[in-house]
Amino acid sequence: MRQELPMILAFIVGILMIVSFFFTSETLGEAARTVENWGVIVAAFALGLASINLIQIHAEKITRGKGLDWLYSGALLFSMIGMAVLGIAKGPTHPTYQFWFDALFVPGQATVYAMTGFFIASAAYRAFRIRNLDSAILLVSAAILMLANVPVGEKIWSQFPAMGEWLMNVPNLAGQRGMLIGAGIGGIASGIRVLLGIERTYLGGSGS
Amino acid sequence: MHYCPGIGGISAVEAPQTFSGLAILNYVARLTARFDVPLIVTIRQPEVFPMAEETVRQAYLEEGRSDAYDPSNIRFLSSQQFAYAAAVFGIMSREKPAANLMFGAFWAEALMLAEVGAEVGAMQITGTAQLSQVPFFVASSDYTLIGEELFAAAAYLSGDSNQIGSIVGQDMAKLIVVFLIVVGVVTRSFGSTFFEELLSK
Repeated sequence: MRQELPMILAFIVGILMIVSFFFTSETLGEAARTVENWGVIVAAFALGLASINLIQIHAEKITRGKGLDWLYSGALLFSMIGMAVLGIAKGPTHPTYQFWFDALFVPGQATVYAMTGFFIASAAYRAFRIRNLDSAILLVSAAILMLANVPVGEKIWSQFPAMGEWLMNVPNLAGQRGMLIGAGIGGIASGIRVLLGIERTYLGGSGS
Repeated sequence: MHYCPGIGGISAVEAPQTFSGLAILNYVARLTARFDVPLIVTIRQPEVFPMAEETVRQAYLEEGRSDAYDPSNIRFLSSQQFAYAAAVFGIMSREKPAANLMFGAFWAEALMLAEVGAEVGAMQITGTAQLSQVPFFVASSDYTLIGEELFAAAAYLSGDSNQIGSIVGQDMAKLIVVFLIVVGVVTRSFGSTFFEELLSK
């Protein structure tokens, strides 16, 4: 029953969601919304479970960590618990809560995102090295596309923007759509495997 | 070894990718248990965390290596995308994994994670059906599963004949789609909108 019950539940709920998507019925719609709300509640419990894992790992690092581990883990636990207590006590719209969120969290996220530019540069360097015919084609098409997207490209040769547009709209789009159709069918097949209980590794174990 | 089953959840359109990532995790965990290789699994979505934990625990149990299972290696890092990415940077830099496997749904952090993996010298195998992230994985990884290959890999690695059979079904569905595209192109080229109208109903 350890695997059968979740599989039966997954099947019933999955079929309900699919049927409510394709057919207009107030009863079905209401049932689907209820199930979605249950999903939110289950996810909230999962967040609690995940938070306990985070606290356990970092508490252990504080007591038994190497080097500066205790400092990083301490900062994480302090921030996490501090913000949770502040949010519960004063509410997430309180100026102090907002200050720490806007002054620490938002710039931190933006900083990590901004690093993408450097990562693109290093990945491009590796990808554009000519090792074979494929990478040579990649380099040439990328160079054309870059020249098509910078003002100086058009000054060098007026046809660069048109070539760039053709590269994006014909070979690139054809490849993308092929992949999209394949991925869509693969996703449906994967969903059916989960719904029918053929794929059940997510319940733990090989399922065999 | 570092493993990430994507940063997508289990209730949106990217759910099949997450399930595929977990199915591949099962296979990877069995191998790491068999060959006594430390496995670190990093998780972004809270609801995926218990599933990943159970997948790895059960894989170690089935391999008869429950003593080697370390629950502290299944780590929930953050539900925030870039906080998660930053935490993975730290883990990769400190632990220096020999292999970095990432299968599932990824967004802007895909390139960052793969580049950090390349920087620490890890052998990288990645896979995603997020088409905008595929080029980044191809540029930074040793091997990449593109789009549907991710779903096929999950079924293939299970070794279950029913699941492998579903890959054949997948290919047949693709053949039908190709047939519909050809019929659509031919009929539209001759000025008929019948087929287009039929499909749009």
